[in-house]
Amino acid sequence: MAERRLPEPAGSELRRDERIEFSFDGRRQVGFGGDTLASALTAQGVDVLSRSFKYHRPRGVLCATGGCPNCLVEVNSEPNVRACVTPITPGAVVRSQNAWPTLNRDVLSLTDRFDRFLPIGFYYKTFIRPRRLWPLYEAVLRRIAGLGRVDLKSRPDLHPRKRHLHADVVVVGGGRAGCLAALEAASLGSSVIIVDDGMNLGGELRTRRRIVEGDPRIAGRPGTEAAVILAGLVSAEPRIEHLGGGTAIGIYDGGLVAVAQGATFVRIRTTKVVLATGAAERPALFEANDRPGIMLASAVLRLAHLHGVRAGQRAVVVTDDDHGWRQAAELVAVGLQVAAIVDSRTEGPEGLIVEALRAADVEEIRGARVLGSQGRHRVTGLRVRTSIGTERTLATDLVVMAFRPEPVVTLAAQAGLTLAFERSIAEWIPRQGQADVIVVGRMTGLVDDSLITAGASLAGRLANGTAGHDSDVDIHQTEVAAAFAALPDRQPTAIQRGHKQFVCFCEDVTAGELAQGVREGFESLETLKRYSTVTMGPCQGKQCQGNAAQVTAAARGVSRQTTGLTTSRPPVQPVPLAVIAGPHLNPIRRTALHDRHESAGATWMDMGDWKRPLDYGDTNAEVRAVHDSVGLIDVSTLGKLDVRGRDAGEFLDWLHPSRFSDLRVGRIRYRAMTDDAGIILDDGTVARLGDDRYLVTTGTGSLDAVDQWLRWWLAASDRRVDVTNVTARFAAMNLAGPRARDVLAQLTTADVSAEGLRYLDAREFAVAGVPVVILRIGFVGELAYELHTPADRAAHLWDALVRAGAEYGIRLFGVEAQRVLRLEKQHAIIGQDTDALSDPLGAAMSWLIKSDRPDFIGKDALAELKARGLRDVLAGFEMVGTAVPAEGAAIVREGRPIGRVTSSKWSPTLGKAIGLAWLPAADAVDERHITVRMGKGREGATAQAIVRTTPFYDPDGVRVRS
Amino acid sequence: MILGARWLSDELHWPASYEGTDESAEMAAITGGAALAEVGPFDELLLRGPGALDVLGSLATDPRAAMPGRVVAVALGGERWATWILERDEILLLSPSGGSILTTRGEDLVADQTSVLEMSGARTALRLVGPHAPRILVEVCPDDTTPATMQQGTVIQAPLAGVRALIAREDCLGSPGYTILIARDEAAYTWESLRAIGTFHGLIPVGPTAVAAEDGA
Repeated sequence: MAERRLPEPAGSELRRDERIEFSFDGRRQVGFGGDTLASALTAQGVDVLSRSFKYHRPRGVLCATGGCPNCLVEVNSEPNVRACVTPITPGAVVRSQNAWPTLNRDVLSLTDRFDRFLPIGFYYKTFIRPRRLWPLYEAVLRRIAGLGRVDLKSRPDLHPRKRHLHADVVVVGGGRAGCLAALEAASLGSSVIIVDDGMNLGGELRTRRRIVEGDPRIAGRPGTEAAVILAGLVSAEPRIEHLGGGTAIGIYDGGLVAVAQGATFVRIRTTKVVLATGAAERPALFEANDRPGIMLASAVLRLAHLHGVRAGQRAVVVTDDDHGWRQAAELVAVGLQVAAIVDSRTEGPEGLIVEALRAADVEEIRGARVLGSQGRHRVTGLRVRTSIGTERTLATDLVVMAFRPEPVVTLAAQAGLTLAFERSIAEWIPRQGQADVIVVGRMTGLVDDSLITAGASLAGRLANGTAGHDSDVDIHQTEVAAAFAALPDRQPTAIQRGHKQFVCFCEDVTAGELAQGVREGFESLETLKRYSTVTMGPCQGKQCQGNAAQVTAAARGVSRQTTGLTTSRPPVQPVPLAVIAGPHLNPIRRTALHDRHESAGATWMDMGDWKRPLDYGDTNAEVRAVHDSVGLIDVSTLGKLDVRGRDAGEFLDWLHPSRFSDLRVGRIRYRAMTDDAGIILDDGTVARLGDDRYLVTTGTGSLDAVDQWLRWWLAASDRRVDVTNVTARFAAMNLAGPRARDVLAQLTTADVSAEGLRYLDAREFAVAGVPVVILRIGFVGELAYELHTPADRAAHLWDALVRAGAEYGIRLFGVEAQRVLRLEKQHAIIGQDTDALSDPLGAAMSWLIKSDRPDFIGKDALAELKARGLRDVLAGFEMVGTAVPAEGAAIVREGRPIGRVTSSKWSPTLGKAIGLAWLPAADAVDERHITVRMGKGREGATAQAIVRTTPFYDPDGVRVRS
Repeated sequence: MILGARWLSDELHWPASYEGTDESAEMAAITGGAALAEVGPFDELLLRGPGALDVLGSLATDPRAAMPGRVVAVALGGERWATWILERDEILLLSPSGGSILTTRGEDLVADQTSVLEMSGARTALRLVGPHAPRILVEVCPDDTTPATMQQGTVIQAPLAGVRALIAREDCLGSPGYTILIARDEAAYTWESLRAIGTFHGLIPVGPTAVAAEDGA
């Protein structure tokens, strides 16, 4: 364990006296407190952490900031965890992804040798013929490619939380510029929140020993010390809150900043946002630039400074900028051996840094091009072509890529800031101009310490809204412009020819493939992105966008300025959906009689959000009780709308093909509602309870839609109508069966005789001492009363009905019995027996269309449908045998589907299997034999059925009207 | 019952307190943690129509405060009613349950441009009270209900744990407090959800006694 550890003071975040054990692919591993999974594994000599998406190439630590896919692992069954930013925890079970059978011996890495079969956009070109084999191809491709697998049997130990915060200023980025801007704003009285994805403030200063210039509070100090000073100043400022480990994933209108902080989703409302997202190095392009041991310089320095890990024994630094020389000096300063620095420029820096490198015996190879790497599971050598044209191989186990950092502008772009191309650094930078989002620090393209700190303080004043700042801005902008003007226009490094130069590490897209895409006509970066999937992986372009743009520009023979960038969309960093969704909340609705059903031994079923009794143990007995004596069912889940007002009747007329304004007070009419296209939306009943007052019932699942539909039409109307959802206010129960009247008569003094309370009558009176709206309707085909009562009286009424019915053998019946009973009457259930194409004509409801009326919703469409003639209709059927077909089963003719079963049950009353089905109109004729497919697939077994267009039970409706 | 509720009386099955807590624990939760209680029952009247706000303004003790999103008090039928002004044309009036002359009270409100609907029993009222109450609420409500945004005497209509809720900020004893109205059939689920989330914040269920002490402030 000590072998790859650097002595203190390296490892500033380590707690070396705290040993933590965990496992990786079944092997015991040990790290220290403060280690990440990646730092601990690297310290233990584990170089390969994952296999790549497409070619299954070995991959190791690349960025160490959570910005690339190279270290995605599965931790305690949660896939795609970034090992480089995830702290180790005792006993964690860590597994590699996308490898079989083992990470080091991955059979699927054969795909790397057959890459010619997997060119850019291969899924549009290969594996498409013969067409019938596509399911096989798809299964194999999905098995080979991937980013971990979700274990459906395990639930990640994730407890998503939510927070709302408010601050005058939100600073995104806790580096030098962010801290200084926050301190300045806070000193002027603003409340400030700093969001930073690290737990400690300081940003790149934490991995830098070079002396800092600029702000007097930190000037003259090594970066590591300056970071500690800044963190201390922020901590001591009561107006600043630091959201450590938080990633700002989006900035939205109204000053809303969305932050993912571990499992907590934080919404921050603010008036000013200061963006200080810094700059990040990007990988170099050369052959096999993805081998383990090839890292960004910032990653090597993070491992060393923060975690005390020596990423390699003999480093070679490659660069095209002075930045590389500074990073090489930092590597030497922290205790790593740097064998050579390879600079593509012939001219390079001189001075103190170079002298320090020479003192450390670092070989300078100027004007050289990197050709490629060597090695298998780790880099062992680097091939370079020198300035005189010779090829050399440098022995190394650590290739450090130290190219000039690119400004991190994804969040700025997502926030709506315009990006401008700065020629002197050949990068896109945000253009200041949106008053409520201010950009500072290295993301503006600056590298000069003094300018960065001055800009940060200015940003703090701007965020605070301090008056008189215009001159400050002018002066600063002049200085910045001068700084850029002093730089020579940067020439991007020429793209080399070479195999497997990876641009996109997420999706295994190479420079050659992008160039091929351009040759195929995908010249726009946006279309090339969709064709090649470059920038579409977990890094969302943060790691690959610059190189993709450069390769595209080179292939087209244009500048990077011409290619532009792809669109930034939130979230700018992948976040588990559970974090955004929040706690798992699955609404459950229980009727006022829930406890009664529980006591009666109900078997529960879910109907939407509702819990409903499916049965009470014996469906057949429940059906028989309703037919022979009396049954009681809880129908509280029915939607109930109180529609009242001067224009209520006319409004209901407008909404339905039927008429309700002429309905007499105390009467009920069936309703089916259609949309503009004549499609059935819902059905139920309308009871007129007063001159201007109607009770409208809806289906259980359609209440919200109907409520919205009514309100939508009212919003654009001057009708005087109020619609109120009273579903929760009233419980409802249906007392059904030939003895239902006898039961009811015991509990009320009202006249409930056949003449006093006729079929389709609605009355309001007391039953068992509680107020009830009673509707005489019969969905289940027997004499029945639907009793609506205030929900807090429901249990009392239910108990009274059960007691009164005892002498008649009353049985509670559930949804299953209700479905059998209604099917015996061929009563359709909207949504089950109909779909989004069903109209009343086909659903055998043409009787309710009163087309002689003035206009109503769907009138024209229904007239047109009628004129066109029926194609399919809903009709009943009974099976010839005893088998019950599945709901959804096909009706076939000569093996081809011509219709489908929508409902099917065994009727204990009839001793037959019965159902409803959509059939061609020509087949919906009594006694017509049809064939129902009983098994799965085209060759499945079939059975015969006979069409019945009239109800199976009490076809004349004598019982229901009795 | 699962929580071991002790009823107020044999006739009124309303939780007086819960097993494992006593008065001091309840008060500690209200003033130092978080407490959840079922309160009510309430008589409810729903006043609707273009003239609703005008009708209310004539009854409110402070007509200037009668604006959408506010809770104001009105005198009606000789009683004090809490009035939740949901919209200009939709106002909810709440009073401790009595029910004797409810319809008459409602008729007092009817005017040319208004209608009144009794909604008693449609909703269950919960009280979420205590310094940690705002943290619990933000976990289950996507709207910004933090004290800085949702101030004393305001009412919002918002999803809560995935169901529709009316939430009024009504502080007591110096602690943030919220009265939450949800559909009766979703009350048990909402209670369970708040309890589950509240576990992380030390929430305990309390009875009307504790709530009464709180209201007495």
